[in-house]
Amino acid sequence: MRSIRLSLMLYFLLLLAVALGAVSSLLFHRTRIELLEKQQATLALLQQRYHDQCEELREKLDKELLFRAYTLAGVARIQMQFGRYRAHPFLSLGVLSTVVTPQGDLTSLLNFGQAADGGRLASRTQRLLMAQIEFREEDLKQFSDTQKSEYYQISTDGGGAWRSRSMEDGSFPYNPAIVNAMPLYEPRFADIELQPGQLVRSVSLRAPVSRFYYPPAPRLHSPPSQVTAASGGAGPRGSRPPSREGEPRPNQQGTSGPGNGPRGNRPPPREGEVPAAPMILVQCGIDPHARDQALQVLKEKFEEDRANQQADSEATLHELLTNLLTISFLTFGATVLGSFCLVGLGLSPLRRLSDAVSKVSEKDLKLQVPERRLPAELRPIAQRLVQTFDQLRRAFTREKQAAADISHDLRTPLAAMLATTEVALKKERTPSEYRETIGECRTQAQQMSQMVERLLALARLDSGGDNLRPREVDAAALAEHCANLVRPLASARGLTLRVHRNGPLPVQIDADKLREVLTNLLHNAIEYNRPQGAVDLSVERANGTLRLEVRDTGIGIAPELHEMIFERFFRGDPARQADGLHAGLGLAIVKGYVELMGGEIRLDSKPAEGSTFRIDLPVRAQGGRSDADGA
Amino acid sequence: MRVLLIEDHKPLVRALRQGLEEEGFAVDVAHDGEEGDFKARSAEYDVIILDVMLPRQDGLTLLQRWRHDGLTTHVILLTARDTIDDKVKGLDLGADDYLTKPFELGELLARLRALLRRGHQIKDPILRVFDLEIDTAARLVRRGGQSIHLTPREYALLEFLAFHRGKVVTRSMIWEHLYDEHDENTSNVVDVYIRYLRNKIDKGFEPSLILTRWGEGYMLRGENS
Repeated sequence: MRSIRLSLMLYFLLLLAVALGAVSSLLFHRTRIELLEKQQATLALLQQRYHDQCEELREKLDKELLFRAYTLAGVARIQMQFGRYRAHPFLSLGVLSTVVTPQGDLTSLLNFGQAADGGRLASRTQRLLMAQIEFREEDLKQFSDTQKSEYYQISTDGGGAWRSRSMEDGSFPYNPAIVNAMPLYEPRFADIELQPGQLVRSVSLRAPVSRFYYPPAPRLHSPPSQVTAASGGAGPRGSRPPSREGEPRPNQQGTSGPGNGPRGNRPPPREGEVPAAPMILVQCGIDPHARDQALQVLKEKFEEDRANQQADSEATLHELLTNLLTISFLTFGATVLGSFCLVGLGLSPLRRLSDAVSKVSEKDLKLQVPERRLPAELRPIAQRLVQTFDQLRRAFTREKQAAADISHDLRTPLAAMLATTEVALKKERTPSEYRETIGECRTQAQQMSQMVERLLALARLDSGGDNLRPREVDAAALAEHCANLVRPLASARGLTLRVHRNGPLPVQIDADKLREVLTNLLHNAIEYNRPQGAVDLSVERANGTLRLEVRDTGIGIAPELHEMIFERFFRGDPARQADGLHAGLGLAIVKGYVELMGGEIRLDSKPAEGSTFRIDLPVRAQGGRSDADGA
Repeated sequence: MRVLLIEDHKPLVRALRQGLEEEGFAVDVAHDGEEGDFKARSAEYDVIILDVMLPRQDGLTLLQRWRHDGLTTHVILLTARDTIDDKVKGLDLGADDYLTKPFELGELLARLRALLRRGHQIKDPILRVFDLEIDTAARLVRRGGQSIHLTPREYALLEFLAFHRGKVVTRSMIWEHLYDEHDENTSNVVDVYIRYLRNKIDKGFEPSLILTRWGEGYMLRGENS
């Protein structure tokens, strides 16, 4: 990424987006779940209410039906229709009689059997076939049976039925088997199709008729007062006025006298006896149209409510979603702007540092930045930069100084030569004067040449173009040779020069460089010496190392300068006479050569206590025996 | 004219000293900054030739201190440093001139002469006194159109008197400015050279230019004297 600010912003915004997304979806999800639960609960409630309401309606209708059924059952009367019965006395036996029932004439053998069982069967048959259900006008007032929506049917066991006018051609289903099995006073509700397309809600109720009148049985045989206890109860009734009504059925057992039937308690029927009170099946039907309509309304309302509920929930969710999205986007947008500024602000120290760095001029290499005000992360960078700049500055200064020194040290001898020759040529001089002049020039030229050689040596060391040319030399002899070279100088200063050696030391080494090193050190030893002092040069070999030592009794070198004197252009002692021009290069070259040969140079010196330079060089002995990795 | 040469490179010193003395300058030498400082403060020099890179005290520090302490002697800097910065620095510290090595001796001499003129506020290199003409650049003397040969010492003395024309110069002044530290101070020397000079300059010419002020010293006749 090209810009820290942009990448920081990007990462942060990414994080924010993820966070916002996660939070939003979590929130949404939870809310949705809760809403759904609530919705479920409310729906359940609604449904419950709806059911309850429906049930109520149904029950209401059913109650209505039941009420009517009971009422009807209460007011129904059974009247024997003699008109229906005609006994045709056949023959004098009177055995056969014809029962004319609404269904038509029926020649039956019933009466035949009548004689056999005491007329019980005939009575039963009579009852069955001739019972007709009747209602009194005032009883029916409460039923406006002209109403099309109410249907009534009362059926007797014998198949007779009374139907309300509204029934027209329809009828309730009557299945004797089922009916006979029905327990008393237990309503059975059903939805029945009276006629195709005409559905009613009906109730069937089997009940005994409370108002009935059985006429006395026709006198066909023995007097009615004869009651056989064992006859099973279906004996002829006691005579009774035909229009007595509303009485409970007379006690079979105790009917010995007319009108003797107890009106109160009804003793339980004898076993095996058909209960005398006739059973009717009351069937009421009501067109459930109104109810259904109401139900429909309820249903619709329920549906509506449910739909509303759902719509509400969804609307809420939708709103929530919209809100979340809006908030998210706004937050995101605000954060984009805010983060742009804030990140910029946060990065401002970096910018300040970079500004400060770009302001660093070549001239003074100073980093203008208040270190204390930098944040912790940047401080190490700033410190390192300052350090580096300092180092650079020092290096540049050294270089400049070095250049100045070189130029000075080359130009001065030139100036001397120039001045000398000018003066000499100004006018006629004596030959000896000319000789002196020429000698001076020569000296100067030599010095310059030496200077140039040293510079070149350093340049070569720097560029790595210096090759070592080791060859077979006697190190001891070489040391002697160097000593002899400088001996005149030493004597001129009154110094004692000694060489310490033990026999020949054949080694493989770059002789020229070794010579250069020794000569240099010896020159220094002589120059920095005391009057009447001494210079000692020792050379020895130990364990594959050639050790050389140059000791002087000179002015010594302070310990803090031990490192620095080997640096280029370092002039150790400003007090020395500028006779020769060393420009501080000699020791730099010495060290360079020693290290090139793989060795080490050490200095042991204290002010006013002389100096000892110690050099250790790895060497290979003669004959190729390698004691160490040689030069 | 008396010159202090502060330079640590001996061969150069030798050459310069000879060159300057042959031109009639009196030359004192110091080999390091300390010595130079001491000498600069203890004698009256016309010009100080100061090498910038010296042991013990570098030249620029010396110069700075001199100017701070009120030493007004002319200073010409001599150095191998030739960058503009160095020149500017040197001049701004109070040097009067700046010469880089290697230099031509002739240039050094000419600049010295210029400094001398400046010191005496004389612009024309040719000093004219009546019918005496002194070409300070060529070091030639003519009187009445006739060229007169003088030894360097004689010339120096005449030049000195000419620079101070119309003013009395005492023997000690003459001594200070024409003889270096190594010369022995015998008051006679001055008188002797005055006589030499008179022989060459005044003899046979009118008016006499070299006048004696008894009890004080000598004087070269001024315009309105």
